[in-house]
Amino acid sequence: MKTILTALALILVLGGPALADDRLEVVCTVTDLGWLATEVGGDMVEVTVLCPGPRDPHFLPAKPSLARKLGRADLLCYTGLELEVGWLPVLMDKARNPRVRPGKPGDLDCSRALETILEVPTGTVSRAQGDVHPQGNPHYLLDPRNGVRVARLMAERMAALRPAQAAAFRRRADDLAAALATRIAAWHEQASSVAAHPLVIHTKQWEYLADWLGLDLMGAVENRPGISPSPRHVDQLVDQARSRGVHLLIAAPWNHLDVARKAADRMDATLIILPAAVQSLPTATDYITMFDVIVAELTRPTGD
Amino acid sequence: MGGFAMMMAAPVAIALVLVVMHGYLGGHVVRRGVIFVDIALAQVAAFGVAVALLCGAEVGSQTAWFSGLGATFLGALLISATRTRDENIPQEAYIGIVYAVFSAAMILVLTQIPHGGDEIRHLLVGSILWVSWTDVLKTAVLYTVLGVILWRFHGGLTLISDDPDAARKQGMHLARWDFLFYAMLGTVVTSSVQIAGVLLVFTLLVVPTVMVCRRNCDGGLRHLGQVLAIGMVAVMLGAAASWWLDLPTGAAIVCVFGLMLGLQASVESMVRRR
Repeated sequence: MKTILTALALILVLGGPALADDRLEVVCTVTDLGWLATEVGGDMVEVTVLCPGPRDPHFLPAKPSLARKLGRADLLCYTGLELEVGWLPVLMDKARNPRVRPGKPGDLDCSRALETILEVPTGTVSRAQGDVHPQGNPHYLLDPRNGVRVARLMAERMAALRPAQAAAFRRRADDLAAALATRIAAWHEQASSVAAHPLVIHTKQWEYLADWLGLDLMGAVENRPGISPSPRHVDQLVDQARSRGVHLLIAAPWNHLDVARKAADRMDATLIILPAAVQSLPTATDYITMFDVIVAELTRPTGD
Repeated sequence: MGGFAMMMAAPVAIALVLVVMHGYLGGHVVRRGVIFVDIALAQVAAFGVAVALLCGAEVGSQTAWFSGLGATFLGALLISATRTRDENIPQEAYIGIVYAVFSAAMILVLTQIPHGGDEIRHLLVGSILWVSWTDVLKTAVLYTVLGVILWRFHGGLTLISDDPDAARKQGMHLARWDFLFYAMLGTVVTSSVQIAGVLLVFTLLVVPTVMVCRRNCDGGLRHLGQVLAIGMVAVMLGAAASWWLDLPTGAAIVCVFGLMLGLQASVESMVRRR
């Protein structure tokens, strides 16, 4: 009996600090947000990411472990603009976590950090256009300036949830913004050589990247997301690509790469697979190397 | 018109190659009453590819391909073992079970691998529009080899499809013949599904035979000729509709097959009423 009591006392004394761990539990839907939250929060937060980098964030199979992770969250950071609409609401239902319900301080729609949202559809949205996002294009983290905006928004929210550490969160966000600012200028400079050339993309998700780097996106192979293209669309696109001398076709790692390869062949273009999210390719280990890889791939000489 | 020829020639050519092979095999499939066996075998093959990825192979590598083929043979073995004489349980029940269990098993395997999952899902939704002449040639060669084997065993396969009891009385080993048939069918559909997708392969296999069998179902040369004629007309119409109405090609062809069957059925019923 005495040994048991001693053991219990020991557990309380030793485990006490761990149990009373005051670190903010931050759950992020995608790896880009996970990286930003870690940079802003440092060791004041514990970050968990729901959708692993190599997976298409539009489609994530719901697993019980994901709901458990969400259940522990003090703060939920998501992309918004309906990117996660296929799986996040289901997980929220299962997790039953009042701290991150919509409208609570633990609920953070990171798209609120944006100044401009691209491609907000005008008129009525119908299923005939494919899987269109009715609130606008949600792939805004492919513009690193938006990454900075999101980091600042995260810092404010973390500060509100942990007022004692508010200054530290804001300072870390400032540091990150400063570090990214120099890289952003360098990437922009490096990519200026490709800005003049038209590009073809496999599926629409590169618009923010193009907006930032001034890329000329001529058209998408799968122009209606989730629906296979019609022969006439492909014919016109191939004709146009050949006549304008398109060199590159950009695809995400989760695109139908076999089709992308064949499309590139028809256009006499080179297929490049760019990391559309942190860790979606082994080389894109974090948010910064992701843009290193993107810019390096875009500017690599294609041999002709 | 130039654009039409450029874009649609290879897809139409491959569809015609598929029509020949699937038209023949479809006759067996319909008379055996194992309509969904192709989808089940394709799913088992995709499971095989998923397992190869789990063991570290790359999508599109030889290892992955052989793993898929091996799994197809396993599927063929399972399905030939489920031929029952129990009238309460149709063989389609087992085929459905094979499909469901292997689909689920594939999902479980896919959650364990970091990437490649999307590529495997793409294995089951081929896109006929992107077929190249190299694909056409490769498929034609593969089907010629398989066609020679099928021709050699045509008599035995037909007897088993039509009258298994008579075959058994002649001392034929049904399970072995069944395995031969399902292994051949599995090899054909796993390659064709990657080219044309599950829906089109299923349609090519079943619809022409059903249309012919409404009138005569003997599996002879005349029957086969009609199957091929129907298949070719539908493929051409579907490809034309896809081009001029600006629609996805595979789906357009499938719907033309459906419309042709519907048209046939309504004409037949009008003639009969008269």
